[in-house]
Amino acid sequence: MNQQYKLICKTENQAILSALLESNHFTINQTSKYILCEDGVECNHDYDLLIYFKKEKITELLDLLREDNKTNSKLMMGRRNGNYIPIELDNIVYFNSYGNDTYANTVYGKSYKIKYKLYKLEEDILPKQFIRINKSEIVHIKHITKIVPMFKGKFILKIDGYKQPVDISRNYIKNFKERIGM
Amino acid sequence: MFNKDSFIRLIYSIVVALSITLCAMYFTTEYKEVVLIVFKGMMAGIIIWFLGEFFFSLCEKLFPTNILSGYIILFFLILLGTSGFGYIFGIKDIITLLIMSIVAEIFGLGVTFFYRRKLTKDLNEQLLKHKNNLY
Repeated sequence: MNQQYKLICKTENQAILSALLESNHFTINQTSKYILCEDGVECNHDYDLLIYFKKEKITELLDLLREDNKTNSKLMMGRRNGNYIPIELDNIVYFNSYGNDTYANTVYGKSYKIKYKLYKLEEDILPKQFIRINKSEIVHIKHITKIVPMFKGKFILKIDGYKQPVDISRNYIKNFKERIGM
Repeated sequence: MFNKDSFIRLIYSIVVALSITLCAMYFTTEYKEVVLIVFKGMMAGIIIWFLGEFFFSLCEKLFPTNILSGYIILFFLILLGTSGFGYIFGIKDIITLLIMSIVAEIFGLGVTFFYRRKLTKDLNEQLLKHKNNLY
């Protein structure tokens, strides 16, 4: 799902910039029309998107690309009954892991097996509308209908279209509160 | 600097200092009975804490989404703490025990109820605000 970029930069910076991009899960593809061009280097290639950057601002650029990459990924492939089906991220209520598999559960009450592990979804793929609530679930904030604090400090979340609520384990409560701005 | 862990360390320090003071008082003064009463009070606190931990955890496992079960446990813990230990420590008058329990129940359950209600309201308002910001 990661966007591929063509990197144009000074020869002496090529290795380090490529390594930086790749270590941040961006793929370098010299045929891509999404071009990252270092300031001061001439770029006369055909492009759909051209971004000029200064080498010292590469970290900010990576942050921007990462955020852009996350929020622009609107579809995800899921497998159900042997068929691969594209699922809109907005229709996914929550992801959960069961054994070694990860499932996307949709607003229609259907569950699709997906290829990513939860940590990968959380770190690289999902936009900021999704939030990790315990070690085996990530939930879409839009689909949370109510937060109920329980005794002993645990919270449970009531979710659109699902009778069974999910719980935020104590280890994730601080992060959850911060994410919603408390 | 001052966080939850430092607060817990403060409680440890107070308990240890109090225990040492009580032990010293027991062996060096004539207030042996007073010291024993204070120790009994501390034991009562430990018992209530232990029962609370045990039953709240049990209820979290058995009824993970049921709030009422938590209130029922709280009710019985307060009842034990006031009437139960009050009786053990020498209050034999039923009316006094009853009044103590009712006041403690109103206070304990009331504070918990209003605190939970405010927390629920704040959390859900913030959630709504956050959703509106996202979309």
